[in-house]
Amino acid sequence: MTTTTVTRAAARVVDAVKVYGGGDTAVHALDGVSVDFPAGRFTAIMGPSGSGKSTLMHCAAGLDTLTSGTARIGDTDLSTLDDRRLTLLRRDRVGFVFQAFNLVPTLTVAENITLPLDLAGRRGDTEWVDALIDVVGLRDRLHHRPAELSGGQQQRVAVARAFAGQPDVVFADEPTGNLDSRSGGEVLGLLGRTVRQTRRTVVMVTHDPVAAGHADEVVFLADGRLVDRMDAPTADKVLDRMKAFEVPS
Amino acid sequence: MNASVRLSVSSLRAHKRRFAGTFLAVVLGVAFLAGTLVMGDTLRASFDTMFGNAAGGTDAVVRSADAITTPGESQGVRQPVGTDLVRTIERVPGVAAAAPSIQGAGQLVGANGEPIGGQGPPTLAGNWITDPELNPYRLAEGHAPQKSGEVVVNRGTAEKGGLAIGDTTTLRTPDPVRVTVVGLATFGGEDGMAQVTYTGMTRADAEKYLTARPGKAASIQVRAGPGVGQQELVDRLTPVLPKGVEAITGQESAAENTDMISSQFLTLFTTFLLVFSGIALLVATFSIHNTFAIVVAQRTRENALLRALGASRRQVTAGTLAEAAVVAVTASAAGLAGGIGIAAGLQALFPAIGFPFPDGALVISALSLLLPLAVGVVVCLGSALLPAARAGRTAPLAALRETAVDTSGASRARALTGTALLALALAVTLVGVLLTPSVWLAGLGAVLTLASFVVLGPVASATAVRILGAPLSRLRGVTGVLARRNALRSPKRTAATAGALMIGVAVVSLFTVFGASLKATMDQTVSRSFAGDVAVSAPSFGAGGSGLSPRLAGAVQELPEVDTAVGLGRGVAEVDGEGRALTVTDPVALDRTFDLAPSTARSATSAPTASRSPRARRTSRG
Repeated sequence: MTTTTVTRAAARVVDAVKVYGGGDTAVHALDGVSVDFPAGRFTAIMGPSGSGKSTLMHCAAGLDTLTSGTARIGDTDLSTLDDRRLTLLRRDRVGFVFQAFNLVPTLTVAENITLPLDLAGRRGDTEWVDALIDVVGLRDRLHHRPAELSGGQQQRVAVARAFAGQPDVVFADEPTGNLDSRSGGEVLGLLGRTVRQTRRTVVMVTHDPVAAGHADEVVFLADGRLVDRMDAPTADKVLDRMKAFEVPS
Repeated sequence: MNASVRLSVSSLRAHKRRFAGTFLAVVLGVAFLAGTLVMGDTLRASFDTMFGNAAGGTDAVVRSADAITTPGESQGVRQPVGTDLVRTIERVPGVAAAAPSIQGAGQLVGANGEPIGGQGPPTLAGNWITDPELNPYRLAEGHAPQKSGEVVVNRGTAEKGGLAIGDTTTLRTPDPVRVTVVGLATFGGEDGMAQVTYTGMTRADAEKYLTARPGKAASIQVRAGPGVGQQELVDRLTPVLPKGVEAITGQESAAENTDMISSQFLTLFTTFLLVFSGIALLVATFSIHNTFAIVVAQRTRENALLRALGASRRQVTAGTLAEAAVVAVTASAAGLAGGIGIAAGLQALFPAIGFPFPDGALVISALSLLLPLAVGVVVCLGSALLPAARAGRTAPLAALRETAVDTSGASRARALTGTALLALALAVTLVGVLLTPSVWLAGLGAVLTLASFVVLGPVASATAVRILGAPLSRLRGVTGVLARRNALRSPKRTAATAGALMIGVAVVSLFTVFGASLKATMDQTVSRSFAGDVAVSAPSFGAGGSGLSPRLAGAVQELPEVDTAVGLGRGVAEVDGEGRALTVTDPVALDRTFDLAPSTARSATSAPTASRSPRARRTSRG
């Protein structure tokens, strides 16, 4: 074990600027954000509404493009990729969990889980997928359609789908936003366990301090800028930090 | 299974009902097309067999060499040949028998006093050829006509007219002749040659009533002796024939007859059905495009999710097209089966309505299988192409938005494109109708007009909903307001729905206007040129009916109440190398009855041309 552990970044943005609109009505959703998302860790992006946290995630994950600055997945600069290569990168190296409408309604649970693999025409690591199904606890639901599942179960399927292709990084956008606290807790526990047990990387956008408390680290965004980072967060610590934003400055 | 195919199949399974309309539209179009092709082939093959059987004993036909063919007729009108030629032919070695075939119009009057047939198929009368091998008709009951006034009638005609052997009735040739039915005949094993009515008379009667001058026959049928082939017979006959008379083999003659039936009857029949299948497929195009446009719009989030998860544009487009392909193939296959079913059903139905459909199995050629299938698949895939491409262009971020915003619709570009297309369509239509009358140009203009309305649909629907929906808020309160807003929210969707209705109304208008125009045109041509007070005519259609006796004009003239009576007849003439259908009459009497002033120039030029041509001839009476 070396003393200088260089933590590799699974994803990072440097001087990220995203401007919507132009002229007087231009909105700076991201105003020069630089942040690393270290590999093998569970990072939460926190911030009040309109802080630019979702925009940051979309640009870091290759769903949207930056106005200026760079976004990287591993060593790949996303701005050098055309639409096709960006699509392939998302398919092969990134996993997603969205707030809602994560699953293709006409496919079964099993088909939804292997969807990114099927799109790539790969079989993937069947043992890994099999283990994932057990981890998310959906073995008895494999042949059901999403509509037959509860919201929590649907998000667990989405988590399994996100990890199925063993991506470099999984981006989760308010994954518990539509869930009650018990189902939400299950999904967050699942994300945390998966990161710790399998050395995977998760970046989660949330506005919920409880959700952020499950992460290894929290980055705080306000007005399109990175304002703080917090290691080993708890819900209470995050809540206190968030209150600071709301105090009129 | 490939991911996008699996997606399409599961999506289809989940939304079966959504595709029901699309499916039906394709099925109908393909079924009409397949049914028409199979039906046409089957009829053609059956007619081949029937004429082959009927003319089997005729080895050669001697007839006038040149025919005047008018546009729209496949077989020309020929000058008669002299019956005295029969004796010359009989002396040629290898000829077993020869008989003149005298033919003319002859419409029988049924037991109820009504004329039989005449509404399309020819009503023929001829001499009953005594040599059974040379006569296409076979005596089934009774005996051949032996003395004047005796006739043999084909069984189908007798049944239709309620005539039995021993019955006496009138044969209009067109001069009425009292005849007694002494025998019933069949043609090629059937009760008749399709709906053609046939009356066989003695040769003397035929010469007396059916030809302008005795001693003339339409053709001479020749039978070869043992060991003499058809071509050999023709080769032997040719040297003895006078100039302007030719001999053809029996097979050639049968083929010509089949062609005649094909062009007169089958072409009309198949064109009619093909127009229907074309319209059905046009409607299908709209229905398919509409369905897939809606499917793609509804599935924006699903497609966006797929794009976010790494589906390439091509995969999403291919997925939508795969769905279209599944619908196309299953619907086309169903349509194909349906079309063959229609053909089989018609084959069974025709005899039931008194139309002797020749026996024989359905003829299903590779073309009638492949063409409808290909057309169905191409139409379906082609119509789904644009929506599929739109599906492929879905931005991955659309998955994260709550609803997709429909920005297309009443855009300025759409309004401009639509207006330009409409202007072009109107121009093409007007040129097609007014400047260079052309059905194709006018038709193209009509289709373009339809297309321009489809493009303009969202623009028009937004305006229409705003105006038509205005009173709703007052009449229905908040539900009215909601209804209006909903219709306005996606003008494209509203227009697409209205478009399907538009096509339906357009098809109905097409047929109504077409029918009314046809009727009005007929009425007008008569009333515009007719300066007389009373017209006497025999109701007939197509090749049927016997017309009126040429003597009738004179008889009417004799009446004290009549100032002038003039007969009008039909004839053909070759003018400048082209066959023309002419109306023949007595020009002196005509001048007093018809208003010829506006067209004097025309008749003045055509009349001398016709008479200058040595080949102009009067060929029919009536």
